[in-house]
Amino acid sequence: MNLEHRTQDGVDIIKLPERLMMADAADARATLKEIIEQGSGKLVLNLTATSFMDSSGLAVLVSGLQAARKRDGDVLLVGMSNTVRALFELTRLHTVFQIFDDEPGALRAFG
Amino acid sequence: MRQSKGQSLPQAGRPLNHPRIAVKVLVTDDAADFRLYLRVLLQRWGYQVVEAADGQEALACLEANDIRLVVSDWMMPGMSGPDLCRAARATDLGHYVYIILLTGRSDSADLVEGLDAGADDFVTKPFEAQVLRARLRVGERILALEQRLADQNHDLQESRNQLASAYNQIQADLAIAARIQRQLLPTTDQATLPCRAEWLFLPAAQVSGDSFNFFELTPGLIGFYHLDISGHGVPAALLSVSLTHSLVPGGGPGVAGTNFLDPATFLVDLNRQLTNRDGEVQNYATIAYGTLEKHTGRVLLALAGHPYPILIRHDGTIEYLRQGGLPVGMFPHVDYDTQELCLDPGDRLILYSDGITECSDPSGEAFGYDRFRETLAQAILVGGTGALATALDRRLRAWRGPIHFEDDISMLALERPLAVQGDPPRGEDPPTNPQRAKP
Repeated sequence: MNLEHRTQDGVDIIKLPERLMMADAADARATLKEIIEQGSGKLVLNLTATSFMDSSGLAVLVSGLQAARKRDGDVLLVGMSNTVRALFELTRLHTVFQIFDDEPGALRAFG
Repeated sequence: MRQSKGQSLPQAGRPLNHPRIAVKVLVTDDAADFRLYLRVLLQRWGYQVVEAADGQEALACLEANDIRLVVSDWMMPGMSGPDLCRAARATDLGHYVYIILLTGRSDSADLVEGLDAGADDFVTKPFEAQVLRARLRVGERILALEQRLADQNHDLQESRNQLASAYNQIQADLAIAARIQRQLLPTTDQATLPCRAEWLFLPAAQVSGDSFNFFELTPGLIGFYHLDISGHGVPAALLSVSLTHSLVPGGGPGVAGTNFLDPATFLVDLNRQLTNRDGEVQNYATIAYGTLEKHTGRVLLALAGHPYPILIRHDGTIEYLRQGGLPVGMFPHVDYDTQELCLDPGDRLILYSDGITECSDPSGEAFGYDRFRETLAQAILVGGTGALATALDRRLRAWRGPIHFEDDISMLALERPLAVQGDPPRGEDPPTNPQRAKP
């Protein structure tokens, strides 16, 4: 999977695809893992385009979060749609991830 | 053994398939001296020669031997060269035969007649030896292509057969798995009496990541759960079956140190058991686990990322039970809370998977909480055994239309019926029952 990826102030900013479902979860998992291993472990995931996410997609994000935190980094989420936010709230994952409205907000949080 | 793919085409005089065996050529001519001339020529080029004195004999030769290259005279008594072509084409020899006609004729009407009869090529008599040799090489190239195509078709057919047989095997295995899985679901609500239970189970594939059950923990106390494994299909079903063994007391090795009586502790243990130490989250589950005192309606409930259970009071009021922690199987250390509530007579507790609320109609619209609630409320008004499951089943199928369900759908409804005769009043000690009912 070709995820749109750039680095700013040592933070990896990744744009997630429209669908993060079972079929493409393995690819996204591998890509995120690679970015985390090669970068600082500080990630901002932009979900603005992501309108569909299922439990496999959640598993990918949580795996990424744990890999990043192992490197003293973090995964911050921005631009969450209402449906995706509902999924996070239902699974209580909004208590684990830091969620921001936009990229500048998330970048400020990394300081 | 068939030749390997991508092999370079054979040279003239070299065999098609077997490097040490010369290619056979059937030489057909009524003139013995001309046959001899051709035999010498062809053998010099490395071919193996079989002779026939007329078309009839040639055809018999083709039927009896694996011969794919024919050099035949046009004019022969009885069956002519073109006759031989027609007969060879009309006979199923199991492979293609490349026929070169030798002819003194050269006008185009003859050419057309020969081609229509099924000849592949012509060499005009008298001919130069090198021309015949080149034509034979062309024939070999075409036969090699034909052979390769035949091999590929054979391989394709074989793969297709293997795929079909594997697919049938998988379907059969899935059917067995689905049966096993259904056997793990409750069959009666006997264990919950005097409370009642009903349920709906509609797997998306044949097997499902959803699972639920209830069982007597101590006399008068039942444990119950409803769980949804991330994903669906075989991997989810496997985990669901293995979890079922942990979740039912006496159903297997069990969760180490599990305290079935304390839902929050139960989930902490379950989470510890499911979580990968390396932080890779592959499968996780959302689950509601609780206990119910059958005679008092006291419920202890803990939730792990599960859709909010719905409490429908006897007067129709609806509450969502929103407390709860993260799904099990994601993070190594998670705390859960036990919430306490009371099912009064006439109250129902509904546990369900998000396959219900997210079930989309052909236009993509989700079934949603409102329709779910409304379906339940109407069914309660109608009443009767299994009314909720029946109504929800009907409503969801109508909503979904003719397409398969995209996600597993399941619901477990526990009901404390309005007081009936013989039901001990609230607060009284439950009767002791030394026999543990199996779910």
